[in-house]
Amino acid sequence: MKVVVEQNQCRGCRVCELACSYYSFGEFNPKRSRIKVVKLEHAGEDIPVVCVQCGKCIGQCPLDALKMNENGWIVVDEGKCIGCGQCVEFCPLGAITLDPKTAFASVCDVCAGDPKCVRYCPAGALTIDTRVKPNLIAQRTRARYARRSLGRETEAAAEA
Amino acid sequence: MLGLCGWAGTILRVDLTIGKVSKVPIDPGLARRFIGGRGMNSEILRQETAPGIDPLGPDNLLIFGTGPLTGTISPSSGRYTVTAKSPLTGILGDANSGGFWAPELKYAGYDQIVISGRANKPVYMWIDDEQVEIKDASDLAGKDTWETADIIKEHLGDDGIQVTCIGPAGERLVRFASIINNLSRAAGRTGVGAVMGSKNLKAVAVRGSKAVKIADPKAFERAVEDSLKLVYNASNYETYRNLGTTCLVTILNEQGAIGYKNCQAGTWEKAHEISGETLLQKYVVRHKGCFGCRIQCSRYYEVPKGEYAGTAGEGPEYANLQALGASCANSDLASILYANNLANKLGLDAITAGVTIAWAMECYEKGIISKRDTGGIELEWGDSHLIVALLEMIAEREGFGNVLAEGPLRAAEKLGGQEYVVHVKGMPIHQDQRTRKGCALAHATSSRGGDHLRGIPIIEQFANIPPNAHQTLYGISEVGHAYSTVGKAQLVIWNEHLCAVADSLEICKFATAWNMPLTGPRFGDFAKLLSAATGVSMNETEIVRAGERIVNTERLFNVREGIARKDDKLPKRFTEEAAPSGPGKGQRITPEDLETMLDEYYKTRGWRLSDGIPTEEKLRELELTGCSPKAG
Repeated sequence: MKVVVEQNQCRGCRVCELACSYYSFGEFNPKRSRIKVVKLEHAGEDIPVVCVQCGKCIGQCPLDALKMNENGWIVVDEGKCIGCGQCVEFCPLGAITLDPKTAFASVCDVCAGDPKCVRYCPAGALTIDTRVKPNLIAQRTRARYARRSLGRETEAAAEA
Repeated sequence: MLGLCGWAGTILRVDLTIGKVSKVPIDPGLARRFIGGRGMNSEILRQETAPGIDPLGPDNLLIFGTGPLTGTISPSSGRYTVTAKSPLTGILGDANSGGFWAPELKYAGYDQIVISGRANKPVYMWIDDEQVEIKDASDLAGKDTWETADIIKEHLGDDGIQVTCIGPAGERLVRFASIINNLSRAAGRTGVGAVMGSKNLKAVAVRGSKAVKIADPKAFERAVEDSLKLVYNASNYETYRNLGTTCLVTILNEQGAIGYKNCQAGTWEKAHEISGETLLQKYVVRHKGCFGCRIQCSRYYEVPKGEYAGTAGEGPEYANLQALGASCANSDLASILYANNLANKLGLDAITAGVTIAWAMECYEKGIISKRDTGGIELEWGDSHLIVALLEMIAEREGFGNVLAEGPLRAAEKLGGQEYVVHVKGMPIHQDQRTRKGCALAHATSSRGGDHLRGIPIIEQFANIPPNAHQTLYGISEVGHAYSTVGKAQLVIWNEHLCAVADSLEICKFATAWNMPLTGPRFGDFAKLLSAATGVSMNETEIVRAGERIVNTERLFNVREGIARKDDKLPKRFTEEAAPSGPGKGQRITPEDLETMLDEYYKTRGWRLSDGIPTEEKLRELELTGCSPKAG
């Protein structure tokens, strides 16, 4: 399951950031939002960026703090996360960040199946893809298995 | 308690003369009585400046104010007001802007910035949460607003920083210089950009990572949902979402209320060439919205070919199409888009600039201004190249531009043609108000001079008003047609209070019953939002009272600067010349009309009929202190 962005629909209002921070943390603070609108002001372009639940970050975590649950979204185990930022550096979209308040990894959890950014977007730029991808999950599991067998240093290669 | 929710809780006070920054807790009483933004700014300006100060001297204050809802998900609540004594009018000056700067200031932890003094060299402010620095801006001198924001972001190494700044016009103290954020969002009117320039302050850059907290989340969510429904259900929602204010070119031209050739006529046969519909069809490539907005009335345009090929930017608003187009009889839409961008880059108020040029064109046609005055320039109506050239000359104070940079009234003192300056209290008007009595009254009473954003009753332009609507909506038993004076004083007062509250909550007036008269959110809805957000309980009556208090404190400021009933006048064009065309042909605001409406207005307001000054009784009732209204 994931939030899907229709780029040409976005009008750049950042309501998604407000909804995300409020429903995730109980406060209005776009810096804590897990969806972020990149504004290319001179070009007049607004591009929302949010996790596509590809799971590539999972294998990067040295402490196994990230996993993909059975519904198909990534969850962070804050008991294990030490905020090292390895996942942040690896994410191809910049969609996972360290929360400015807790310093733990922070990534879209699709609001547990009811993403508020989608509900509040006034431009129809965000939709939800409810398909769980079991084969993708299996692929991740295989990758983790392989990584353990081969040792961490080659995990990127194993994932790829 | 107060300061933790809704309001950020801290005011930044900056003395640029000695380079000192202090953080002061918000005064809970002040916040409750004046809400935030415009209201708190106006009261601080009145309390903390001496009468008669030079608007461009170090004694003037420059105040940036956000509202208690700014930075929340409350509809269209991300605006800010910049307030100072105006160098254009000599009375209260303020200007309001959207975009993304205001919420960033809230996230940094501040409701307001109160700036005094004058730096001895160009500086800019850098606010990074608790860290506040006054930094050298020598390398920014002369840069336009777009370059300035880019350079600052590059220096500080973060694209996400929000910058509000002045361009060359502000630095050169053009009396109608603006302050610009996000390329095209302007705190445009009354010359606040010149005040910023006079303080040697080039920009205020902000980055904030803190939260705006909500006192009662459940009640707040309900109040937001309720307000959203009212906005979405408004009959003009889709029009505004699609065209923004540019829809008004066609609407007002049909009603005979555009300002063709310096407001000589309310209709123009070429209006469709610069209309919102034409703009949308020819140049708009996508729609845009300010922070937290659900209407999203803005548009991004690109000019693909022709002389102005490559011109791309956001906007323009109706008023800019009007002032740079119809006012000057310029029907070249691409040139207006280019001029709109240019005004934003130079940091000029496009309305005042356009109207000032239109005044000069009329005076040239009438032989009041000659080539000797202009340095050889021929000021022909509709000359789009001339408009572009004059914008640059004004911003650089070059040649004839230096005369116009003083604003039309001062230019007329020098060259003649005072009777053709369409203004109230020195603030130029871009739009014909002859055919709508209530709108005309609102221009006469507006606390920042001739202006359409203080309380014009937009319902006057609505064709099909349900029977009894005025009773239901405003509690006024009888309101006449646009040409009638009946009920107009009460109607204007209601709208003035609504605008004052909206500007102080810093929500966009388009998302209120001002612009959406039949269904939009109004006082009771604001009370719910404010109470839930801040935890300071306020009911509908108290919110209306706050609006009234704000209007009165602004009146007191102006009274102190010499304003009285004698100044609540309309330009001769509206009182002596009858509308030459359109459905309102033959209409004008007769002196009797205006005096009748003013009598009723002052009586309803509790201001003295003789001089239009608030009575002591009214001031006691509003708990307004520190005032010494002169005896009438």
